[in-house]
Amino acid sequence: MLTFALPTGRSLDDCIEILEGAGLPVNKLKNAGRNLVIEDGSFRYLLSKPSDVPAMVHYGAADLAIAGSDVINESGISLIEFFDTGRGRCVMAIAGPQSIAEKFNDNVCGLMGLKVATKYVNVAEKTFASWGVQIKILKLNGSVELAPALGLSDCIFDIVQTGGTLRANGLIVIKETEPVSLRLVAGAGAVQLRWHSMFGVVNSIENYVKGTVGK
Amino acid sequence: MNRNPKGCSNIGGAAAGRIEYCRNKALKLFAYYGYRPFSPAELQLIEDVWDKLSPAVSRKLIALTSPYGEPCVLRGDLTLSAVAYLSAHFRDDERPLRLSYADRVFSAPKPPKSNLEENQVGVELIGWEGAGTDAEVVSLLLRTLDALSIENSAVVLGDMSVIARLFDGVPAERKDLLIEALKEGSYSNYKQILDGTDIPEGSKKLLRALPSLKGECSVIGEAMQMIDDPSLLMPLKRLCDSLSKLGFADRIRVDLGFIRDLGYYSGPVFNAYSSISGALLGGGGRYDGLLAKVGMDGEASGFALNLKELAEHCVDKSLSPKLMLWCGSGDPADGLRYADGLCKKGISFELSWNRDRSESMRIAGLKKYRYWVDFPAKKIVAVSSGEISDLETFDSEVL
Repeated sequence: MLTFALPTGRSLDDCIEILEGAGLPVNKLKNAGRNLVIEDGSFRYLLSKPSDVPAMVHYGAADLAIAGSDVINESGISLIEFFDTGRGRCVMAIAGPQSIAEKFNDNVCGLMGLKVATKYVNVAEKTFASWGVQIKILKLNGSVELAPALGLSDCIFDIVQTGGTLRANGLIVIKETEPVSLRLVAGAGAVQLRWHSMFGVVNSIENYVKGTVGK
Repeated sequence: MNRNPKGCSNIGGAAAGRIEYCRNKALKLFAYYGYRPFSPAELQLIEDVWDKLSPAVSRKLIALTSPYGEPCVLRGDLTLSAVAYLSAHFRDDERPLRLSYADRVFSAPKPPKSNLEENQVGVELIGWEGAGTDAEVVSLLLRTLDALSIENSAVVLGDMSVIARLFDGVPAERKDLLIEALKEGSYSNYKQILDGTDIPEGSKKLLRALPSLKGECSVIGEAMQMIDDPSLLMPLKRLCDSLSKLGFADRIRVDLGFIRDLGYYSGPVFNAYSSISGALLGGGGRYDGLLAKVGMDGEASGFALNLKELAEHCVDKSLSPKLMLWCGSGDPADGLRYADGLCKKGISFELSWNRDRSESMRIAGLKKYRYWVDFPAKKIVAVSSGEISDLETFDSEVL
């Protein structure tokens, strides 16, 4: 039996579409209800909070996973990344009010000590550090867009898909830092030990994903 | 209560017992194979280690200044210490040189781990032994896992010299990027870089297949059909053949895209796993290049296993005391003489000098001893059932 860890929330529909397209059984997964462990044929699906998916494969609870590159990078966990599924595309970006956007046009010295609200603490630190900028981070777990309006931070560092939530809160995208999408990943140990049982599935998913590019 | 610094932990109770069991069992096995124990210094001079490890590993070393003002690191790698010791203390004609160790290494943790220290047990073999070096070291690794009753353990083999040769025709800058991507396990990035690299299509096809060339030993045969010079894979094939003849065939896997990142491996490399949980137990490999860096010729190979992981996966056979020996308020020498007798019989025990008989018995129950001995009365009590027997009878029949 091959075990997949999948993120709950809005990415789950993309995951189901990929798995179904690759010929994996997903009927029970589509009707999971409140179940978090679903067995269908020779597959088991673990539904997990997106940020926990990398740990699920790292610790061997799952053989394979579909996880967002944002949470993979944030976790810092080394995983085998087979390919980009092209689903769940968005960008990691710095967003804030217009007044702060102007600071980003000047020398980076003006950004020192910037207060940044984010749930991606590690990626934010690395990103700003790569520009030589030290920031003050406010870790928030949700509704990050509220922080500048409440005076909690100067800007936010978050994933942006359509930008609708930003606009609704008076924020604009100041700088896009990296693209984000769903990736097919596995723990290094599982890949080295059980490649013979997973490569067929990995190939099927890759073939399906490649076949749908641009459609 | 004192708080440990973040990333550090005290190990006690059953876990400490199991670690000790694994350490002793492994070192005893290594001694049979002629490996002599070595206890390296806890601090290493930065100048001695910095250029011998990969940048990624060096950056994780924990630096400090010794009270003598010397820039040091907490020992982050036991192989470097072992090789430095061997190069300084033995002549070439004394080879082969075999060392074993069981000690701690320190480094900044890699997520999701948070511990700064790890307990390792391992061996290093330096000599001129040809293919025998690799076969000896990998089989010893497997025998160690067997000795510790780690069920379903497996070893994954790769070869750094094969990787180096396969990338021979690739422009240097691209080669570094490709190897880095393989090391990070970012196959998507690897394929992307490869697609943008200007090399003949034949070579590209092989390099494209490299991340998938893993599985049973037969994968070596598949790879041989894909490359111009199949002899490149012969050392790895011979190693697999030797291990198969020793009965390890079903526990060997091959991964031709496998890279171990310490910066000094130059030949066959390997990882050991518990195949049930997929937990990495340790690994090692061939490091002839490191020898050259310390001015030595020859071949060297070794492995290190993580003692905490071994302890977690081994079948618990730690020496936990079987009985509590209550000596009461009599002459301590009498109780100690009896204890010496138990020791000679190989029976583990704990002495109790408590003046209160019932309190001593209560503690024996608390500590889950099987028996409690009332030495002054020469009686023995089965702690769980409360059954009482004469010590003399029990001693001759059971103990």
